[in-house]
Amino acid sequence: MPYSYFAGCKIPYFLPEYGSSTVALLDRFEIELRELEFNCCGYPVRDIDFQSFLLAGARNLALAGQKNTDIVTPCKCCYGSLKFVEHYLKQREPVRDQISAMLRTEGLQWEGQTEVKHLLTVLHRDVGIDALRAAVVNPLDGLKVAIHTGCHALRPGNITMYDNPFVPGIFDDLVAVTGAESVFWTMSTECCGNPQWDKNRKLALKQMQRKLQNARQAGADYLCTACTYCQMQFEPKSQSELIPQIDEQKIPAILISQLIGLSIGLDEETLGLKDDIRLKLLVSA
Amino acid sequence: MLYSITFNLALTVFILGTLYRVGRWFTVKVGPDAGQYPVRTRLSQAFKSLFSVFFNRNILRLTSAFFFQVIFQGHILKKDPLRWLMHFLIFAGILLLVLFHALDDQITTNLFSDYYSTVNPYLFLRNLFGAMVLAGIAIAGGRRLVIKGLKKTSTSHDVLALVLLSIILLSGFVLEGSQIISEPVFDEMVEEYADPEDAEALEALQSYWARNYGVVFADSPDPGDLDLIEAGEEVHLESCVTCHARPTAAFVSNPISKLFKPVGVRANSIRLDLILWQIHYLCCFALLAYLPFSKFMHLFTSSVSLMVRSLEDHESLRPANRITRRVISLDACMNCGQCSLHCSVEPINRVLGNPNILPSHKLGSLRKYIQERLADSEQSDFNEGNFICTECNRCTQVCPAGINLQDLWLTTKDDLALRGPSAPYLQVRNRAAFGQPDMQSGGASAAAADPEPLRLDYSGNPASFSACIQCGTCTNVCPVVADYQQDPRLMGYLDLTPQQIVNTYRLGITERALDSKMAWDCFMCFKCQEHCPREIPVAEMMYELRNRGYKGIKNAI
Repeated sequence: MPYSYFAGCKIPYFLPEYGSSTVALLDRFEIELRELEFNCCGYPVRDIDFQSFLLAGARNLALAGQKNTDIVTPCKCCYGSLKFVEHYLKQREPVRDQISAMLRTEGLQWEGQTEVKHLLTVLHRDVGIDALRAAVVNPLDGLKVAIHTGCHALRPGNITMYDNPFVPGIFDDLVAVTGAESVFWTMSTECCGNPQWDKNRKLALKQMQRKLQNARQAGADYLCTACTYCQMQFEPKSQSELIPQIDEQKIPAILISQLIGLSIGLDEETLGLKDDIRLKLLVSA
Repeated sequence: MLYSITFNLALTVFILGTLYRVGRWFTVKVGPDAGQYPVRTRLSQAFKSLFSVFFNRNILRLTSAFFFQVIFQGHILKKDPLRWLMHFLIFAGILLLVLFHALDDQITTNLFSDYYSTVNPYLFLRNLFGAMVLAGIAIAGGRRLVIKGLKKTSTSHDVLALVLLSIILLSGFVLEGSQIISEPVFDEMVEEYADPEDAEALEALQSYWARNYGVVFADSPDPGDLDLIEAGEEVHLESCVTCHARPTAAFVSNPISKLFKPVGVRANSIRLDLILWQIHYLCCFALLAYLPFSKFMHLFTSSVSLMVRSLEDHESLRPANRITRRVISLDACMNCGQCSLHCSVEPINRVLGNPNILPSHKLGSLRKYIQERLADSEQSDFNEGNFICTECNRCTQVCPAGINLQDLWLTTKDDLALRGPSAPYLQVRNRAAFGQPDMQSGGASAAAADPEPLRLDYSGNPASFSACIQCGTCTNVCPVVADYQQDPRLMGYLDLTPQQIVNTYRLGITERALDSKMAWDCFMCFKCQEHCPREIPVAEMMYELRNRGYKGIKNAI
């Protein structure tokens, strides 16, 4: 069954390489994707207004449901929001009725049939570790990668049902497939800091700095992310705002779709590897 | 006399208005980076770019954009054939009418030596073009009524534009209808092309024209006198037929003239045709004068916008030209509403009811904003709209006028941030009302019939917090607490910890937490909630505090 591809709002303009590499990767393993015109997942307005958040999420679930598809998204914040809305509406009938009434005005309805999956889940479960391993042509042996788990897929674990929220393993398995080593670092499951980027820049940078230090101590060459916001947080442009500005602090971030794509020999242009990443990969591999 | 005075007046207004509008492209400042480029730089950069375009291979791209997008509007056809049909009917109809009908003395007579407004195919084509425009307007009006999202974005300007155009077209058709039946017009033509002294021939011609051309005569000749008609035909073939086709070719005006027939004599005696002629011309002149200030200016500005878009990426534009392009963009918007139909955050507008969430409306507010004409309440709505926008770039991709809306929103956000607190976080901390009015103070009265708005309400539900044993696990795992602790000199003092936030719930004093640093600095990483041994929804409580804070803290805590 095809998936509806939920890119989220930030990928088209700010992180197109995550979109193109994800689509190419899934296409390589014959996962069929449908393009639907989704709206915002609701995550950015969860701060502001709960009902807006619920409606935005539910409308997306209904849109995918109308086409009898499940949703796959590469963004962990989109994933977490959609999962929360799904869970919340399934638990509370009066709320569901109220939201359904709003959807009905445009001929949409949601009966709880849509499943929401993250890119990593689809890779891990639908494609499978064996198939991935079999496809590797450029093993990234010797590369040390610090996986950046991402909060909103992991927690709250009873709602997202994504992985063990305390000892996650999916991401490590997928990195291991490429031949790279997933190093152990204590701050792996912590926030990247991006939620405060536009609100309290000082705090966002502090959090990023602590994480980078921790990953460096663990000997990582790269951070690997599987979330639009996490990746944006660790883009070179964002890291260049760190104070003090010393190269010791910086670690480039690579997207999981780029890492796997590279190991199975996908076209570099589709993967959209930026120069800092490519240079370093050449040195390490 | 009246004709030439009003025409010249309208023409003057049109020319001055156009100069004013084009002048604004180089003087109005949009975006925080606009101040660095004086008018002279912007003018010279624009001319330099224009000049360089004409002398390299970009001219090919420009030409293809002109034909494919500006003239044929292929990019609209690809997206929605009905919308294309509507737009193309209006566009082509008006253009052809202006060129070959309004400017017939200047253009048509020079192109076609046999041109008379009264012969075919000109008679027929004029009706066809007019009918095309009317059909387009009908589709446009229908769409505005039927498509829900469009109805919401329509403004009085949209209505005014369609109404003015309709009056011109309808008065034109009615005018032609009244001319068909008009005896005075018949007499004028006889004066010009035949011998008005020859009473016998004149009577014969009248009977022929009454029967075949629908003219209504006060002193009507006998319609049963076949000999007379035959004689009339002879005169007709001699003097008239070469430059006057039968009115049946005017497939819209002719049926209208039939409606006039019963009152034809009266209409002729008051010279209804002259009255309508004046209405038709005055409306055209009014539109001419209004044109530079109306939506119709987009015929020019959207073309410019589309061609600029075809040439280069925004990033490769010279910086001074980016500013100029923004002002052109503000002029090029026709409020077609496509952006709002596809907007990612449109569902949020349904709940919050702030029209500034929709891009087409926000663009209108932006026009006011740069002139500093936004009222206070509009300003906060505008802030909220800009803040809620997720910059997904979709509006830029669907805009049929080629406007780079993404650039407008990004610069506006920067501009708002420079001019003072714009994000709700900052504003709530400054204890200023933000966005929608307070829910409790009747702000939601518009939605009075609707059910209660859905809200997070952990504070009203003791089951959510009463299990808390104040063990402090939430605080121990909190990254914000750790960030503050690592460098207190840089970060300052964190007023409440997560554990203390939950305690405000237990004590029923959540008001004290509403403007706490903790509530607004929280990353929402859900670690506290995940680790809580008593399953308290700590992170969701932070959301509740923010939602409540956002709804408007009016009184100091």
